[in-house]
Formats: sequence, structure tokens, C-alpha cells
Amino acid sequence: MTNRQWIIAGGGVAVFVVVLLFFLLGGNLDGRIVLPYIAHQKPLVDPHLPGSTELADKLDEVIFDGLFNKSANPSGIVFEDALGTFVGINSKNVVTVKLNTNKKWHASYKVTVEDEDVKVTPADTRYFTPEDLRFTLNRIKMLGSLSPEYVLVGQGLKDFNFTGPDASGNVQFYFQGDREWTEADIKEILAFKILPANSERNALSYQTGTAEYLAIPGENNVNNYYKVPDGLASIPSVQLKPFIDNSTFVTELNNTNINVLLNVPFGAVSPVLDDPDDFFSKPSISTTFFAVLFNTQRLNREQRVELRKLLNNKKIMDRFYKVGTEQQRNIVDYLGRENNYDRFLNYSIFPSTSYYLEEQVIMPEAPGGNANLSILPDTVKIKACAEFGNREEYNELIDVMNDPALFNGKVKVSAAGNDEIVAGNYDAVLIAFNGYKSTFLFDLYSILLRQPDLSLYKINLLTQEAGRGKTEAALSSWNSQNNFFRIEGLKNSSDKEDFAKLLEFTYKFMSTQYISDKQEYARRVDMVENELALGSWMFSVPSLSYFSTQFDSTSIDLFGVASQLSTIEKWKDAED
Amino acid sequence: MKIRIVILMLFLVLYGCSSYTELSPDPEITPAELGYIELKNDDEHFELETGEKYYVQFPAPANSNFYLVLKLDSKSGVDYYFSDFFDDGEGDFNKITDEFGNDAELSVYKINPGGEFYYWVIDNVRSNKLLTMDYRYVPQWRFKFENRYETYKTILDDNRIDRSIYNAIDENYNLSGINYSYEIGKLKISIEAIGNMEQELIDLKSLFPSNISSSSDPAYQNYRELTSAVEDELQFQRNYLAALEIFQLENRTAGNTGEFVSNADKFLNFINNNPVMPSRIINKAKNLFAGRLDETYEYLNNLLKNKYDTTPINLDPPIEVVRELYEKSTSSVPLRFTTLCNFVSKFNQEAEALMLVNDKLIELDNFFNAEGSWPSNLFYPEAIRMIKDIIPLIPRSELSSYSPFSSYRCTSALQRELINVRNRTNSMQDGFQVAKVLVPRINELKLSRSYKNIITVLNQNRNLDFLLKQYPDLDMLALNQHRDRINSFLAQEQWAQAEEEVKKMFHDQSFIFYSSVRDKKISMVRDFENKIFTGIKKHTRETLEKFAQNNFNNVDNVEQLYQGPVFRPVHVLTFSSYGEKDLERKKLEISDYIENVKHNSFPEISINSIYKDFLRNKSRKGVEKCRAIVVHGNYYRGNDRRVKNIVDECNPQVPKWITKAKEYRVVNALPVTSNPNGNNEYLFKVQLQIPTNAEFPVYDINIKLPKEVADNASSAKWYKTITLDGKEIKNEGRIQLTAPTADNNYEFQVSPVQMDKEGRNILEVRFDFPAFKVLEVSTMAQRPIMKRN
Repeated sequence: MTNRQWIIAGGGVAVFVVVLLFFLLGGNLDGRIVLPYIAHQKPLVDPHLPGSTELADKLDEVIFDGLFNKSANPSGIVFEDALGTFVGINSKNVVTVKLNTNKKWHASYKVTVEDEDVKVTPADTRYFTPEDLRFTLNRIKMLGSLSPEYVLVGQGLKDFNFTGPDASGNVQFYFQGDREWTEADIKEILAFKILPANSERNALSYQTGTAEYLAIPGENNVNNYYKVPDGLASIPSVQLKPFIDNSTFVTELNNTNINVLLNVPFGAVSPVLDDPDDFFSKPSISTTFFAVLFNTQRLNREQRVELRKLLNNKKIMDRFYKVGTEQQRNIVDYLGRENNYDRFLNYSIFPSTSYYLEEQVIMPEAPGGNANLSILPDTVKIKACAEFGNREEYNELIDVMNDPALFNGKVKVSAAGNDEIVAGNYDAVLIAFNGYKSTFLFDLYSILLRQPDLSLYKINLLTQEAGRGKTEAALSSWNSQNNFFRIEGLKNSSDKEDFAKLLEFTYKFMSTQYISDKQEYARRVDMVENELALGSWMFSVPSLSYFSTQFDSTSIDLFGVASQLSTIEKWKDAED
Repeated sequence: MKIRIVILMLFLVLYGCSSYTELSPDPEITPAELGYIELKNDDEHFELETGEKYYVQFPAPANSNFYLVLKLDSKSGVDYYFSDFFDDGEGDFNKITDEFGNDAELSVYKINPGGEFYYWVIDNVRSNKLLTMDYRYVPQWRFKFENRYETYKTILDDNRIDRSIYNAIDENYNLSGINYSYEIGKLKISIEAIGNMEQELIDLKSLFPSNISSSSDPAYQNYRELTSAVEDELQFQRNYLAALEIFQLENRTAGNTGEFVSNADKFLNFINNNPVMPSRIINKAKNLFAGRLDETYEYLNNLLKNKYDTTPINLDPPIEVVRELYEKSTSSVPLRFTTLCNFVSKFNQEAEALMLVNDKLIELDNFFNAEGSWPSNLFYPEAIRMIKDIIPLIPRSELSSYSPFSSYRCTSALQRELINVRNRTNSMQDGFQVAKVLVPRINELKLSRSYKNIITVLNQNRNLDFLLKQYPDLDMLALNQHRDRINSFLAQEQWAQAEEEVKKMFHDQSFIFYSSVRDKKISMVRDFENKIFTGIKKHTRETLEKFAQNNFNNVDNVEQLYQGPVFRPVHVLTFSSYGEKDLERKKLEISDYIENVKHNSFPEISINSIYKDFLRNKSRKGVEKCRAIVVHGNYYRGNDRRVKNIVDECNPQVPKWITKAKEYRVVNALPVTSNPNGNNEYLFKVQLQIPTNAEFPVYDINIKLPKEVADNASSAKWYKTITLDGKEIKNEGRIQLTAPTADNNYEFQVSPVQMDKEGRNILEVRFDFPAFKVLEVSTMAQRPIMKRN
């Protein structure tokens, strides 16, 4: 063979090897939807409570049905019959729904998994019954303001009950008479996810539903999901893939180890994923904001006010996104507007992207003037725990905020373990709030009443009778061990009165079923918090999801980030 | 027997009822003048019985002017009268007046010798009595004089005046001691008393018999003696009175020369022709006058100085009287007074000549007046003759030689006036010569109605004002000729030409007497302006009405309708005699009318009609109708809310208000592109304006879509864009869009929509649809509910 022949033969072998490696080593995720999660943040699914992780909330849509399922098509929201069929509404606002009692609970199937080979076979069939519905309504009622469903359902139903079923399997709901109930609105009210009546009322997680995917054992003791027999899901399997943190998510997607990334780090456009032949993206409204929460045990109000002035969020955010540099992280908001960083700056406990700011119910102002540093401690110690998501962002922020050029070394931000957070060993804590809603249902509890332990998600709301059948938040909900601000509700201090007001307004905000009340209490919460200066609300990050072009992009209709998976059964693989 | 008794009774009655009993005195009554004679019957007095009637016959006197005097013991007890006729009390007769009717005893009757008897008739005796009466025939003068003689003497004696002053007055007598008022008053009383008596005495003369002058009748002699004394006293008193009155008059005018002069004729009369006045008194008067006359010069001189006019100097009395008084009272008249008198005389001579000339000129004026307007060719030759006769009558003033009066203003005025009249007449003479030539030319131009040319000819000779005045109607003839020309343009609706002529008329001042026709001309101009203005308006209105009638239902090329000439005035006014403001007002009124049709009535009627048709059948050219309505609406500026609402309904660009919660409202979704056979972009907008007390009201907006629009909404986004106040809405974040499906009866929902109470709150929806027609959507807003995302 001549040299030239050797060269040609060598080239051919090399091509073969590359092709072989591609098929052997490269991911082939056909028939699967693979989503990443932080390994030690297992998604605990509860269809009626905010989840411990964003993914947990999204999985509600995968597992559970309501009487009607809220879905989407290119034109907007659609409601699909699930465990109920809308029959009608009479002049007295009595809504009749025929229950779909042929629908089977996932427990009606036996699932075996061997080497990723999933077999679903019939077991003892258990159908959906009115008791399941009643159980669910009771549970929502019991959860009260902790559950967004309590607010949503309460807007329509006079009580959390129904009559029936009659011989035709119809049940009647008694709707409020103060508005014209359209079919869509009725279905909106009745779209709460239904649990089987034999469920525990306060389980850590719920896995039995009636939707298109049923839970199957997965890696890391976290369930995967597989389509039910005779189901409508186009893609059979939904897999959750654990990773140490989010720093590798982009790479994993690029390497086809996952094919859906619901939140890219920084919410920024990824240069790695910019090949439209391989990926498509869908921006949505922000669900994460970073804040620095002040420890009220260590910083008095005067210091908190000055610290709020010191922490210039604009400067931090510009550094965070490297605005104006060659490394600028480009963003796009849900309306497609690019690099409008300032719109993500927050000056209230309510993020700028939320309804309350967008509609100017609240019009906060940036803290004015320069901080009086003499009032502050020599060094304000801020802790940040990057172990429970957003590691990339935390690390970046720690670097930014420790830059002496920014705060003259007055601030010392350090990475900390969760135990330090739990112990309250900080002047302030840098924290990311994930999965917040920009709608009316913005969750104040997750900020103000969350247990300061990032390893779990617990809301410390205690209520007490307020007479006339009403309840109110008990001031004991706040003690220094059970909230990030280390607020002592019962301790005499100059802040006590305002703490009480804040708790009262927060509770009323969260529990009211009237929009106008929501608006008013939002204003009051903002006002009292502003006076208390509990934190620096920093900024939100955009939400940008990436999908592999394995999927037909037209089959994925998103509406609202919490419901990103509500149409998952309609997702389709792209045709070759 | 009975008959006899009746006859006897009747006789007795008749006898008793008649009859006056005649009293026949014995001796008989004689008419001679014998003094009083007692009336008796054989020395017996007649007995008069109560109720009886009697009469006595008195013969007429032999001479005229006699009295019959009856003296009764008493007039009481009987009623009687006296007459020259008696027939037993029957028939017509005159009772003669008793001139002593009031006397208790005497009755006096005038009697004359004409008849035979007079009758004294007693027609009633009140009680029986004896008639005791004397009678007397006596001449009237005697009876009167005798009766008054003593009285006369007493009057004379009582009214005599002391003559001592009178007799003492001479040139040297000092009059200052005389009490004029007292003396004159006394004299006037006495003169009147004596004068009256003198008159009575004179009157008695007429009663004298003709031969009395030779009579020695004592009564007559007394009469003569008395009258002589009366005459003497009266002459004295009258002279004395005249003198005192003159002296008093002179005295009263002291210090008042004007009054002295005005009484000069009285003074002159006193000293003239007064033969019965003693000369010593006349000389005294002359002395007094002479002392006053020197002051008259200054007085008269002042009068002349203050006279400004040219009328003759009329003094009362004339200045000649003063001059005569001067001459009669003094030895010589001062030269300056003589000069003044001569000046007055000369001035009056020239002034009267001027008056004569002026009278002649008035005659000439009358000649002009008699000729009237438009003089014949023969008029001026005669006028020339008349003026030639007048000119020689004008005197050349000689007043300049009467110094110092030549410098007085009346002198200057008269001299000036004479010069003026001379110049004027000369000018008239010259002018008449020119007019004599012009008039035939003018009369020739008149035949061809060339009034403006005549005006030109006359204006070239405006100095001939007399000639100009002879054509008083010329200006109106010319003006009316112009009027007829304008009317002709108007009749043919040639507005521009008509207006141009009106403008010319307005600016035309080429008239003989412009001021006299100015108002008429202006009135005419204004009338024409009004006609043109109203004509244009009428023409415009009729044209527009016809246009509207033909086009109100047109849905094609509507925009072109508004660009047509019909919406422009048939003629744009360029002139107004009232000025720019009025011109603009009229133009504005016409344009306002057009604008009103263009922007009000025409679009309004079109919109209503097309919309009515649209509602009947939206599928038949519905889009074209809506677009036509919108175009009409673009021009509509009226205030009819309903019309505007229709336009808004048909205009997809105008948001449709949702003002009530929970109520559906139909909205027309209309294509905003124009592809009749293919895909079109549709648009509809709704605007929330729902009253609410909420500070931040929020609503759901529900939109029921036609099935044909929403049918494929599950597979493809049914809308192109949805914006709220210009901001794009996506089914993301805080707002939820609920898709239209068959299940929800294709009802699309946007929620929540924040309603800015001060803002517009416009929800705009655009979508594509493969048709070109009207699509109905139904919208509703209500309190929202919170929703899952």
C-alpha cells in the first residue's frame, strides 16, 4: 500500500471509530423524557402544597388528575376532562359534574423494572370514587392557607363539599353567586389534583394518582414515571436523573444525558446550547429570586435599614451577569425581550416580576442615600449555602459580593453548610427562593415562615381561633429557630408590634380568596416589611428552559412555569 | 127769561174784563214847553181803583228832541208803561224807556213830533189811590243841562289845577322841583273828569235847536259860559300835561341814550307844530334836548360798530328824526354826527341794492327751478340774458370814504358781499356760457342712456354746480343701470361676474353727487351681496341635497365621495362691503354649511342608513359597509352619540367599551387587510370602563368566538397577538389565557386584566382568518378569580 492508501484507510477507520463511539457512548434518549435534579433534594410530591423543589411541583401534573386537567394548546389554556365531565350550571350557580368513575388509580397496576425494561400489568383495580373527591376536598380545607388550592377552590365553592352522586354519577357543586361562571372558570376551580381517599392526610410525598404517568422505582430512591397502559402519553417514560448540583446541567444536556432542562443556571442564554439543530428553548417568567435575609437577632432595625442601603442590588446584578463585559450573560424574558436586567431588580418582598409589582399595586422605591456604615458591625457576615441548588449562582454571588470594590470589605459573604444556617450563625443569609409564583398566589410563607433548614421544606404557621369561626396566625409562629430572619414573635422588642402586624397581614394575604384583599394585604405586607427592613430583595433571575430537539417543539405548550409538565403527555418525539 | 139772564151775565163779564179806562184830564194836556202841569180832572185828582186799568193820552210835541217828564207823588202802588201805541192793551207795541226808571218820583220819556199821541198806560193799581202827577214837555238839552248844571260847575271847580308852575316854566326854570308823577296823575284825573264833562256838553249841542245861537235863553247862556271855562281849563291842563310828560320822559332817559334816541320822535313832535304850547315851554324843552343830543353820536356809533350784517340799518325812529331834533334843538349839528347820518344813508342805499340783486338772483333761481332737471337746449341762452340784466344792478361800494365807519364790520361785510355777488354773477355768466355748450351734448348722450358718460362730462365741469344740480336723477340712473347689469348675472347664477360687478359698484364713486347716492348705492351693494350670498347658499344646498340623496347608501369608494367638488363652494366669496370680518363670516357660513353636510348630516344619514342595512344582513358586504361607515365616521363631527357609537362599532380600531360586569357585549371583529378571497388579519378591541370603587380593579375578560375562528385553536394559536394597552400578553406569568374549545363553547378568556381607573385599559386582539367578512365575537368582563399557573 502506498502512503496515500495508508492514509485513506486510516481515515476510514477513524470515521468508523467515531461513529461507533457515538452510538456506544453518546446518549440516545428516544422514548424518554429525562429531567435532572439535585441528588440530595429529592422531589417530594404533594399536589396541594408548594413543593420542596421546583421539580416536585411540576411533577404534580405528571402524576395526578383533577376533575379537569388544566392544559394548554397554542391558543392558551384548555381544560380537559379528567376525573369529571362538565354537565352544566343552572341559574342558581349549581354546577353539575359527571364523575369519571372508570378512571383507575395507579395502584391498579403492578410495575416491574428490570434493566430499564418496564412492565406494567393489571393488579387489583381501584377506580376513582366520590369518596376520593371528598377526601381531597377535606384535605385542602384542612391545609387552609398553606395550600394554594384552598384559596383557589374557596373562590368558587361556598364550602368544600358537594352533593351526590346521583344515579347518573353526577355530583353538584354550589358555586358562589357573585359572578357569571363560565365553563372555563368552573373547570379552573375544579382542577385541583385528587388524591385517593386511602391516602394519608399528611404524607411526606404522594405518588398515587390517575394521570398518564405512574410512578415506578427509580435511581436514588426517587421515582421515575411510566405511562399507564392504554394511556394517551406519547413518550412512555419520564426519568429523573440525579446530579450533585446544577453546575453540570448544561453539559449533561449537551451530552444527551438529559433532554429537558427546565431551568438553566442563571436563567441565562447558554452559548453551549445555542445550536438550534440540537436544542430549542422556551423562556418563561421568573421563578427564582435571590435575597439577603437579615438576622433580627443580630441586627437591629437601624442596622438593617443601613445594610439594605449598602447592598446595592444593581451593582451586584450587573456583576452577576457580567453586564457590559465580553462574558456578559445574556438573558431573555418571557416576552422575548433581551438583556433587560433592570427589570429583574427587586425592591420589595414581592418580586418585580410578580403581579403586584407589574400592576403597580405596590410601587416600592429603591433605598435612597448612602448607608451609614458606622452603624453597621465592622463586618457584616453573610452566609450562603450552595448545597441545595443554584450552586453556580451562589458561587458567583459570593465572589461578587466579596469584591472589596463593591462594599469596601464591609460585607463578608462566605459559603456555609446547612448546619450553620440552621443554627442561625449569620448576620444575614444569602438565599435563593425557587419556584415562586408571579401570580396572585405569590407565596409569602415560603419566605417568612419557612424553617431555616435547606434540607427540608417546612412552613411554620401556627393558627389560633379568632372567634366567629375565624382563625388567625399565632404570633408563636415566629421564634428564632424557625425562620431565616430569626424573628421572635413573642419576645418583647421594639420590633414586636411590627412583627405582629407582618404576621397578621401575611396570613390574611395568604388566606384570602378575594383579589382586592390580596392587593390590600400585599400593600400592607410590603409597607411593614419595608419598615422592618428584614432583607435586601436583590433580584430575580430569568427562567429559561432548554429542550432537546429530540422533541417536536410544537408539541410542547407551556403556560406558567409551575405547569411546565402539564402537557407532558402530549410531548412527542420529533419525526426524523 | 133765562136767556135774558144769560146774556146779561155775559155782558157783565165782558164788560168787566176789558178795558182800560182813559183818564181825560181837564184841562186837556198841552204839548207846549210850560213847565210842570198838574194832571187833574176838574181840579180833582183821578181816583184809581184797585185792579183797574187806565191810560192817558199825551199829544206829541211840536219839536223834536223833547222829553215828557211825569212827576208822581210815588211810583209805588201802580204799574205803568209809556208807548207811542195803544189799542186797549192789544197788538204789538214798543214800550218807551223810562230814562229815570230808578227815580222814585220822575219818569222821563223821549218823545218826538212824528205821531199824534203817546200813551201813559196804568195796567195795574195795587190799591185804591188818587193819581197825583205833574207832567212837563221840555227840550231834552234843557232838561239834561238843567239837571246837570250844578254838577258841571262842581266838577269844573273841583278839577281845576294850579297854574303857577305851568306859568313859571321858561328856559331858566328848574324842573327838578316838579313831582312829575304826582302832577301828571292829578292832571290825568282832572282832564278825564273835565273831559268827560266837556263831552257831555258837546253832546248836548246836538240837541240844540237850530236857532239857539241867537237865543238869550238863560240855560243856553249858562251853557256857553260853562263850556268856555271848561275849554280854557282843559287847554291849560293838556298843555301842562304834555309838557310834564315830555320833561318827565327826557328826565327818565337820563343816562340811557338809547331810550332818548328811541323817543326822539316824541321830542321832535313836542317842539314841532305845537302852536298852543307856550314858546317858553318849547324853548325849555329844546334846551333840555340840546343837552342830550351830543351823547347820541357815541350811542349810534356803537350801534354801527356792533353791526355785522349787510342788512339796512333800521333805527326807530329813523336817524333823520334825530338829526332834525338835533337841528331844531341846537344852533348847529356836529360834523361827525352829520357824517354818521350820511354813512347810514349810504350804507342803506347799497344794502338795499344788494337786496334787490339778491331778489333778482332769486328770480333767476326760480327760473332754474321752473326749468327743472335736464334743461333744454334753449335754457341757458335765456339764463345768460337774465344774468346780464342783473350785473349792472350791483353797486360799487362807496362806503370806504366814510371814515371811521368804513372800517366797521358791517361795512366790510357789505363790501365783501357786493364783491361776492359781483363775482358770483360774473361767474354765473361765464358758467352759463359753458353750460350753453354742454347741455346739447348731454341731451344727445341721454338718448343713448350713456349715463356714466354724462357723469364724466359733468364731473369734468364740476365748477358748474348750477348745471350739476340740474341732473339730480343722473346718479340714480347710472346706479340703476349698474344694478340691472348685476341682476342679469345673478339671473344666470354667474356668481363670480356678479360679485365682481358688485365690488365695482361698491368702489365706484364716480357720481355727480356721490354723497346723495352713497347710501342707496351701499344699500344696493348690500342687497346684491345678500343675494349672491343666499344664492350661493341655495345653490350649494340644492347640490348637496341631491348629492346626499344619490350617495347616502353608497358603500364603495366612500372616501372619494368626500373628495368630490360637491363639498367645495360653487363660488368662493372674495368681497364684502362690510370688510374682511364679514367676508370671512359669510365664507365661514357657506363653508360651515358645507362642512355641516360633509361632517354632519351626510355622514350621519349615511351612517344610519348603511348601519341599518348592515344589521339586516351582516354577511352581505358587511365589511364594506363597516368600512364605509368608518370612512363616514372619519368625516362626522356631529354630537350624536348614537351615530358615533355606530361608527365606533364598525371601526375595529376603536375599542368597544365594556361598562357593566357580567353582561355580554357583541363586538364585530373585522378584517384590517383586504384580501377578498384569501387570508385576512382581523382585529377587535375592547376597553374596560366598569364603574367600581376598587382602587385597583381587575377583571376577567371572556370572549366568545365564532366556531369557525376557534375551531382549530387546539392545534394552532387562534390569535396573532393580544395586547393590553399596547403591551403584548402571553399565556405566561401573571396572565392566563384560556383557550377557546368546543367544550367551553369557544369562549376565550384573558385573566386577570388590571383596569387602570385613569387609563384606557384596551385589550386588542388580532387574528388571521381565511375570509373577508364580519365576525361576531361576544365579550364580557367580571370579577376575576385567582388561577393556577
